[in-house]
Parts: sequence; C-alpha cells; structure tokens
Amino acid sequence: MPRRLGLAAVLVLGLAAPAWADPPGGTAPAEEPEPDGDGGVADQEIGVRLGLVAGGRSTPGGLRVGGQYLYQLDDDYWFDGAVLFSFGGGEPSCFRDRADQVHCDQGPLDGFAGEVSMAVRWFLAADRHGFHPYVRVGAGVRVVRFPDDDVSGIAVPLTGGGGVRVRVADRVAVGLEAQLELGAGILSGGLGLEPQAGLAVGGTVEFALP
Amino acid sequence: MRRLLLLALAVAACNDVPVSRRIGARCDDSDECDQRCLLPSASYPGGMCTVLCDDDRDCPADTRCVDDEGGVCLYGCVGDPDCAFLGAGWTCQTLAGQPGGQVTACRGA
Repeated sequence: MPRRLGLAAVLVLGLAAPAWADPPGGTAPAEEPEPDGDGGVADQEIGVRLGLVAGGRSTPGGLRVGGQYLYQLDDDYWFDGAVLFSFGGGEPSCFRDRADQVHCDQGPLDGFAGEVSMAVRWFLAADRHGFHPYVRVGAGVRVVRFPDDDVSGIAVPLTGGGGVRVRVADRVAVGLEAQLELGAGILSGGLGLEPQAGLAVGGTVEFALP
Repeated sequence: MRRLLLLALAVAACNDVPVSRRIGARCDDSDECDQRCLLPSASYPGGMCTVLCDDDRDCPADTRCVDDEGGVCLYGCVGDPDCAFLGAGWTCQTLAGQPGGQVTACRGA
C-alpha cells in the first residue's frame, strides 16, 4: 500500500517515472480490495477536480475547480457529470478595430467561467499496476464573464480528452487528465458570436460511493 | 484529434487584427485604450488609441514618435495607401518628430 500511495503522489505531481512503475517481485496490485464495478471503478463515484484551463481571446481560463459524479452506464462506459468553475485574472483587453468591430484579446488565464458539463467516460483496460486510462467526450453549458471589460455571455463547448487514474485506497482514486474544449458562445459588449477554444489539464480525486 | 487541432489553430488565426488597445484601435475615451485616446477629430478621424513617447524607441513597431499632444506614437507611412487601413480621412503627412526632425506618419487632415 505505501508504494502505491507513493506512485499516486508522483502521478498527481506529474513526475511519474517509468522505472517506478515496476512492481517488486511477487507483489501484485490485484491484492488491493476493489469496490464494486469493472476494474476498480465503482458503479457510482463522486470526485473533485483541480487544474488549469488555458483559454484566450474570448475564452476564459485560469484555475479550475469543480465536482463530478460518475455513474456506470455499461461495462466500460460511465456518465461523467461535472460542475466546474474557472477563476482567472485579467485586465481590459477589448477594443474596437478601425471598422468599429469589437475584438477581445484576453490572456489565456483571464476571466471567469461557471460550467455544467455532461460527458461519457470510456475506461480502457487497466494495466498490471492498476493505472486505469480513460477517454472522455461530452458537452457543456458555460457562463462566461470578463469583469474588466464588462463582458458576459453563455457558451456551449464540446469537450474531448482523456486521463489516467489509479486507486490509492479502498474507495479512493487519483488521476491526471487533459481535455480540449471547442465551441461557441454569445457574448455581450458588441462581441456577439465568438469561438471558444481551451485546453484543460488537472488532477482528480474520486471516491467510490457505497 | 488532428481536425480539432487544426480548428483551434484556425480560430487563433482569426484574431489577427492589425490594431490593438495599445495602438490603433478606435476610441472615444481613454478607458478604451491601454494608455491614451486621441479623441475623434479632424486630426484623428474615429479616434485612435496611442501611447505617449519621447522618441521612436517608446513607440510600438511601425509607428513613429510625433510632436503632437506632447509626443504620441502614430503609424509611419510612405504614402497614403499605408494609412488606408485606418479609415477615411487618414493620409500620410510630413510631421514634426519628437524630439526633433521630421517624420512621415498617418494623421487626419
């Protein structure tokens, strides 16, 4: 168990070294008690996410935090719903070009967003060390706000990405994930319809429900 | 995934606007600019965001320090077509430079 906890800590810090993944002779990860479900993923799990999202132009970015709920749909597929918030910095960045069209050039870590997302997570086979990769695709509805420019709006991003998680206790798993987010939004301040493009990376802690 | 990446790059490319809050954007108030708005007038049709300067080294690329309003950066030019992107009323003129000499820059009549 201590070795697996160490591996999980390294994973969360993004410093995983392949050599550490070699198990000692005779020690099998399968000795860990597993919650119900396939490969250590319970029928239902809740979790928290913490990471960074990079946006830019009219897509908010910054520190992202949120909560999520997993519900098993099939042998390999789970519903993955989340409520996410991103908090960024910023300064006024919108302007009118010479044709009087409004443009914004927000930095990648600027603005605020609150989002509800619904996705399907497809768990691939876990490796012998218990690392469990997954792919996630979905969509969301996002409230966008850039207070320094007094610009607000609503956006619909499509998301696609993946990650890997490993169980570190009976009902606790940690992971790393990344996802690309593309869509469009309607924003105030004369911006109108604007594309949304972002890249999110972060860590997760997931708890199996009884 | 490759298509998504290309789409993201295309979105980024759409943001290629030749003016900014720092220099060139239209304005009616300095709150619309990083530093200063040259208010709409015959000299600055539509208004223009700019930055204060003591010499050309204070100005963004492609702009010159002009002895106007205490020293402001204006787009440099060779002929009127160089000023067309600023809109109607902007022409290429020979102006007093800052701190001295003469420069050719875009300005209203």
